[in-house]
Amino acid sequence: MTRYALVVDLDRCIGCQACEVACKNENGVALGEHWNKVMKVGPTGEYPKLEQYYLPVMCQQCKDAPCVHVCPTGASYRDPDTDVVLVDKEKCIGCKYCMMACPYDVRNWNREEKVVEKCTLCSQRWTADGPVDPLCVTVCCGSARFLGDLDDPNSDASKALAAKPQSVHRLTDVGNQPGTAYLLSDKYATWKSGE
Amino acid sequence: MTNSVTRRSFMKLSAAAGAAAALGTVAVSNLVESSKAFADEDVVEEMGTYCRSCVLACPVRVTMRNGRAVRLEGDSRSVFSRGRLCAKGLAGINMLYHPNRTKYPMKRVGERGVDNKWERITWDEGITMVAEALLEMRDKTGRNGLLATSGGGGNPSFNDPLAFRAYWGAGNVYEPGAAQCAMPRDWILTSIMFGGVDFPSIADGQCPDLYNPNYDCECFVIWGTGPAQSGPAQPGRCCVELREHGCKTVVIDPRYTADAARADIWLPIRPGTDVAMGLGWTNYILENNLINTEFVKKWTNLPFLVDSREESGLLLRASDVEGMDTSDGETYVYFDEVTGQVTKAFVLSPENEASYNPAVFGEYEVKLKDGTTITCKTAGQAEKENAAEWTLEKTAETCWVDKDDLEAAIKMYAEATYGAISLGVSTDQHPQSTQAGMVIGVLTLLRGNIEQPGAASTTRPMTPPVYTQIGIKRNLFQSMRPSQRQEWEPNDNKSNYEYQTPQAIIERLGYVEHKGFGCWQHSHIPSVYDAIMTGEPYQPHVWIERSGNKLVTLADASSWIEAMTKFDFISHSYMYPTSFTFEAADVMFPITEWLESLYTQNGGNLAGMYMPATILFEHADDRFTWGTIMKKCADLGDEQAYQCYYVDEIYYAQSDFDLFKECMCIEGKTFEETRALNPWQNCGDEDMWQATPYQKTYMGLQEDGTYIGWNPKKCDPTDITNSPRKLCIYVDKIIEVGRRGQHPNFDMPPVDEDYKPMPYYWEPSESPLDDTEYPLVMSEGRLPFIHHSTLRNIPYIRELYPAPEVWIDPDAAAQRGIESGDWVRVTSRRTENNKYAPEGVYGVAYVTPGISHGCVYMERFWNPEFLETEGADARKSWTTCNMNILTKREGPYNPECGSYTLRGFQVEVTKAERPEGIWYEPEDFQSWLPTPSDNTGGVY
Repeated sequence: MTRYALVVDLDRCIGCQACEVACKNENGVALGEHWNKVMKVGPTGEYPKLEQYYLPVMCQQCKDAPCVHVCPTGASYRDPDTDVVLVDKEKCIGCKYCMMACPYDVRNWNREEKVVEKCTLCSQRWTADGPVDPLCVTVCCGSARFLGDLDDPNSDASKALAAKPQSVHRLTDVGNQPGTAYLLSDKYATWKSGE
Repeated sequence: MTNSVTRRSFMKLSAAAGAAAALGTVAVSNLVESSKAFADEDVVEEMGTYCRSCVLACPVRVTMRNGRAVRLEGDSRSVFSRGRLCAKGLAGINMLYHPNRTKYPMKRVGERGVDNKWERITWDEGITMVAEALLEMRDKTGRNGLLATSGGGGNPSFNDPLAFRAYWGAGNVYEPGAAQCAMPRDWILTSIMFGGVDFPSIADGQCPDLYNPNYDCECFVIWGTGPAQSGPAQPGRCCVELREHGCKTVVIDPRYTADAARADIWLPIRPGTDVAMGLGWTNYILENNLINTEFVKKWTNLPFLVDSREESGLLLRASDVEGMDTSDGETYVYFDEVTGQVTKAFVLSPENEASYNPAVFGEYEVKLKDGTTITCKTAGQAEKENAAEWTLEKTAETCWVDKDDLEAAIKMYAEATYGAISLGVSTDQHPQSTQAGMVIGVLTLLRGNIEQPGAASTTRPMTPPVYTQIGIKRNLFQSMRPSQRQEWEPNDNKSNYEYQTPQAIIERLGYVEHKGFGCWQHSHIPSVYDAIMTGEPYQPHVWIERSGNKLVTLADASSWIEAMTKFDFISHSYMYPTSFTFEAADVMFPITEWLESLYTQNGGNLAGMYMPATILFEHADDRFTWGTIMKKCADLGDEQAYQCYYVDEIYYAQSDFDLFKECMCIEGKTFEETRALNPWQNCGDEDMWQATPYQKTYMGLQEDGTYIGWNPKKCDPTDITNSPRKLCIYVDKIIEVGRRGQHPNFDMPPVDEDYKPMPYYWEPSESPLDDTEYPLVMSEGRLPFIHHSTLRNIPYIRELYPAPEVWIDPDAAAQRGIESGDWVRVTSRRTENNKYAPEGVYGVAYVTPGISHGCVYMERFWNPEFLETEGADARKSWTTCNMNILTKREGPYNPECGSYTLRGFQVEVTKAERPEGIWYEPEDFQSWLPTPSDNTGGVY
């Protein structure tokens, strides 16, 4: 099996939002919409002993994706070759069920085309030779983002996970099994995004 | 013309995903409409250039489709950016194709600051207006009525106003930065204390060894600088790697920044107290004997004796001491602990260094040639006593930090074998700028953290370049080389013509009192202001401005509106109109965006040039604008301009563009071939990091077998003719600079009061300790996605940050009934009786524990939408959200560098309503997305 997802090392994320702008440039995302958004978590704690982390949120490439289940037309689907969750805009009727089903609010409404959009992992850039890093990964100033097949131990994403096994976190799992993993070391901050 | 390509569909086309999608009408180039569809025959090319969205100049790969720039990425060969690119850089395409760019020269129709109406003119008409104004000024009151200004908002041509003023012969130059950004640190550190080794400002592109993959630095102190804020792709990335490799970090900043959130210790300093903090560190290090004794003894001037007869604190000279032969030149004296004698300093070599055993501390009797005996402290002893009052308790209390955290931070730095301190812009924005730079110099050198592995200040000489360029037929004024700003000499020319007289230099406004300005050849902004308003000592008449929005970057911005009325003529060159254009300009010139520029650049291991992806409309590199003005002055009969342009051939005018292109080529290659190679790898990673820094620098040997040591021309006053080549922790030289300046060929009049050789602190003139009316201390900062006054009109950036945040701590917010997201207005003494901003300036509150409690932070901002909305009051573009309305142009000033107060002054914050007319929701910025427009034809 292949299971492509982004892994984000929050120890390294400096909240510069280059990934947001790169994504919008590359994908022509409308103003006000975000396929990828950097949230600030914190600061919390007793001044001046504070802690904080930045949390970039995008499609989590769930193993059991609610958006695919609820889509009445098959517009939300899994690519048969790569297993990446995508939207076929030709089939989308704009019912927004998937937007309601997504636990992470990472689906966007394209006002102009009246369809739902979201992060594609820039898989439109992939070639016959395999995946190509999305722009959010190539520009990332902290080198904090990694694309890869989580089932392939040699992928960038798997290697990043293996390097910090004690620091792996995921967003709240309500049975959907998000693929994206976040790395955050206790020495910097306590993970607060999993409840 | 009808817009059959919508903005949204352009963005679609610019995306790779859109390439094979439904293509309607596609622009060929210049984003000019075309009916030709390229769906099946896209021509995709890639080229290399550099970003200029800030000063760091990351190398960029540009993907061009059918002649249009569609994708930007970093260049992974760079040892500094490693292929990363931040939001500022990624804004490049939107900047290039922005619908509101100035497309051709325009002249004002109507009144400055009243009518926002403009009429297209030709370049020749515009340039003639400037030249005629200059010549009229020359005939009426002389050449010194010129004011040429620039700014740091990604401007690649810092040197051009200096060059123009020099070849014109007289007048004044300023940038809102300079005395308020980098110059004080550059002057006191690079050009004096560190003997020519670059000052440690990671956010300005210094600190190369912190990028060294050996990661020797064990403790990095990030002081008043935000690496992740100012330059995410270079310094931000660098700090991520340092931490990942085990380097401990201390962040000294009122704000809990991204780097503070990853630091081992955050010291939330009260703005304006950095020198007190530094003196506290100095005292702790000296009291607890944490200095690098061997380094301090051998390589610094702390062992030298201070002349106790001199109130100024000058070091004692050997020629005054009984029995000392100074026939080989003047030098200093020290007390030798082994021989027990006061001894003449000498140059060290591997043979004689064992005989050099100086006392660093103590007081010693010295018998003078006049028969008297005096008791002299070592400079080390003087530094110790100077800092002695700054105990941990007093420092913590003054700076509003926790005493235990303070002690832990000092120990973390002072106990590291290799440590580094980077000082940022924050202290330059305050009247204690030079003293702050000086105290960082003291802390750096007490630990020997210079030219060491992992130090912040090191020299990394480049290996011989792979390619060389053909040659320079006229002066390139290569920007961004400090040596060019500091040492470039206009009178050194083909015909030995004297372009600039000593008198014209001495007449620079504020220079006699603030001699640090000699470093960058600038003038003192408040003195310029006073001259404009009073005509004393002379009246500036013609203002040539090249940068973004002076009304957002000058302190006490409102006060400049009246000043603008005093000028006979003002021109403004920028990529788009700003508040300055509306309030001041008589004529505006369009200039290139960085994706259109052809320019020199030194890019670390990647050498090359800014290469134009395209040149849209009548845009010209600003360098050619200056050259074209000079040529026009020559053509209108100005003798000096004639000499400059036609005889000494200093300038390229716009008509010389082909010649310029030829000069930029690599030897033996055409322009197209050069462009294809650009930028080229001048040295690999191994070459870059091949030696430890000191092996080739101060520990290297001269031909006579002595150590190279430290550059005496930088470190010593001119009377020291037999220099022992030491670094100066104790800045003896500053006294001479105050008394006669730093010009080799003539002396300046002295300052009223000697500059002081050691750092000292004074409570800010507006202080929270006694201010009940404005109880909160204001700081400003930097953000990772905007630079100075730029990018407020870029949709993808502005939606991230539609209005300035006002950070305020939970207690102060609660007292004022303010919650996060509330609009607030901020007032200071500058908004009292202010007719432009009577209610203060507006921002959005962010209530956070992540700000030094009792302080607020507000970002600089302006609202370009007021210039572009039909019926809007254009003045509101700078009066609504502009924190520089609050800042202080009036004194006190830094004695040496004249810095005024942009941080560390007092304000009040009050809950308010959102001001009318500002754009705030993401959709508001829709009209700033790229649009097709008429092609105007080019300029070259």
